[in-house]
Amino acid sequence: MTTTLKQIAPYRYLVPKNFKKGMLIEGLIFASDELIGAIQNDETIQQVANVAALPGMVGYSLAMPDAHQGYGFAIGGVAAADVEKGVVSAGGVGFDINCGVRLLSTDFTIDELRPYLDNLLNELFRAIPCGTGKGGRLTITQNVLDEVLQRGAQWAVENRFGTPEDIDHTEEHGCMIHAQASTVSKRAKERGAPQLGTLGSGNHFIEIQYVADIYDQSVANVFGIQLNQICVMIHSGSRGLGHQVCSDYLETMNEAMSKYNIHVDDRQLACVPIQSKEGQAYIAAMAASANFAFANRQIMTHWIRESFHSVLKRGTLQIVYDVAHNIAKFETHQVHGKAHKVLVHRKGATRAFPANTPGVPMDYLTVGQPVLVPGSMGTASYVLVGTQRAMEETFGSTCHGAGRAMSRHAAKKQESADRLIAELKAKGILVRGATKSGLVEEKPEAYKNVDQVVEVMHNAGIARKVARLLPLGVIKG
Amino acid sequence: MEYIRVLEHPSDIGIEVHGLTLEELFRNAAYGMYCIMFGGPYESNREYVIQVSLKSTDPERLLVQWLNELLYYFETSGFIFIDASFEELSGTSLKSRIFGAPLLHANLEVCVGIKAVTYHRLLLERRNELWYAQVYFDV
Repeated sequence: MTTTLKQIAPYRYLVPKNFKKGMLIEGLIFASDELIGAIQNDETIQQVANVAALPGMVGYSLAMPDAHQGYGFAIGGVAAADVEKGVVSAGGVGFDINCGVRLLSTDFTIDELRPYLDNLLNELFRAIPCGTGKGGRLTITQNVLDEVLQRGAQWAVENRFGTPEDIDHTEEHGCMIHAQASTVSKRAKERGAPQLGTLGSGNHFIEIQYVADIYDQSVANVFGIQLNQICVMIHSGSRGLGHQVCSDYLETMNEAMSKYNIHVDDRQLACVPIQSKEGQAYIAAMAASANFAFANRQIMTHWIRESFHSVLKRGTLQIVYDVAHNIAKFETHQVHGKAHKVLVHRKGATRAFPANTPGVPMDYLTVGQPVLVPGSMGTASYVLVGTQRAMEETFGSTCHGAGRAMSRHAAKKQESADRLIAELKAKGILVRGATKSGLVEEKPEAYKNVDQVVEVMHNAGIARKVARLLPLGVIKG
Repeated sequence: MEYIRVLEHPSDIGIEVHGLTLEELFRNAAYGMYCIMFGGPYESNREYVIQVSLKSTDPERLLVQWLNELLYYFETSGFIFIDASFEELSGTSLKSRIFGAPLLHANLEVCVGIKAVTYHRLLLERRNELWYAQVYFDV
């Protein structure tokens, strides 16, 4: 497919307003020569243009280098809506609200842990329920679930699933204040209640990693990251609860749009004015779902700590950070030289705030926010740090992962689970999976090269590399 | 299973289904969605019956609501769809009895966890003698 993409600066491709009728702002795609081809090969650019046509969007409709075709919005998309005149889109956040990543640092080195790796993986696989529709270890009442929806990770910590320091290293302190449990449907709560404290399926995982490279020693020191240190990465979200909330509000928005004279090309882009009653209700339900996800990752953190103690008889696991990569947040950014209050939709994109910015944890304030970028199964993951340039160009946002390059169906046709497990084992990576089919879908070749994705963000000055982590053991949902 | 075809998507998966009537199309779409979950054709008994009533603005939305309804029953009670009878199925409303069994009673493994039904590239239309639909799932 040929497009009228125009490279306007290194790593920056403009989607002009004349690309598609109705675009109100331009699109801007971050990519390298290697990655722009894949982005042009699916519907990503069309979706960036569709978002640019939504009412009240400001700045650029953005796509990060891991971008690929999603539903409505591209995955890897960022768009900011004026708070007074703009819209909120349930599809702009996505189904898995507050799907996110948490990184735990440990006081073990790779040499200390390796003899225990097999047992540790078995224990983690036993301790943390994973897979489709799998219920959890907790039985919670509707009232307790409402508390979780209101208070997120803070509820978890108060109920002995962590420490106050954990909260300090979680985006939004693990609790989005706009949450209202009453805006979440009974069905969403029914789906969510048994799933609190579960990993889920799809691309969700828990990975035992070691720090293979440090690129910025001083920032790594502030984040508590050292060479050869063992870390644990969690990738999970709001489970069935978030999916039901998204489905519910897609229906609400599709019905309400005509009332607000809004027309979209793709119903997955359904949106309503931020200030409308439907918009406010969605924002409150989205925040409640985000809180569920923060609590979910916090509870799993507790069980990971227990598993380490059970197998290794000691260990201190601290949260480096916890980031949301499917979310919409009220933030203030400079647009055309003026401070503008906006609702930033990040769909498969990570906040990347620099030093001295509100929202960055106190002990990271001098360097900026950690950005956690997981790779595909068996490949590297990265810790980056936010920059001022991100504030100027991307509403303080960067990439969220490698980004898929191959359909799940195609991945299955090309690979067998046993061969994949053997290949990973030959590289020193042990795997446990809820299903063989789920493993194969997540094979490394199904994703773009995460090194290339991160290099674009680093070289473009949007997020700087701090450390590179390699996997030792993977639990796949 | 010539009435169901799997569609590729970079991150997720879809199906193309057809049927001689709208009822058959809705039935096939439901079975197709579960085929994705179980990795292919499956069998189940009909020990459970659930009443489903839906209202919508158009047939396409009704199809999404129908499939989301089944997903809800699957996730909350492990309900495996095997068949449906329709008391009413117009372009904007549906009254149905769905038949199936709980996952616990079946020797089936979930290969692909479908989490939601999307509006992405959603199609429902009449093509000559057949009803045709295309729907993508979030997995």
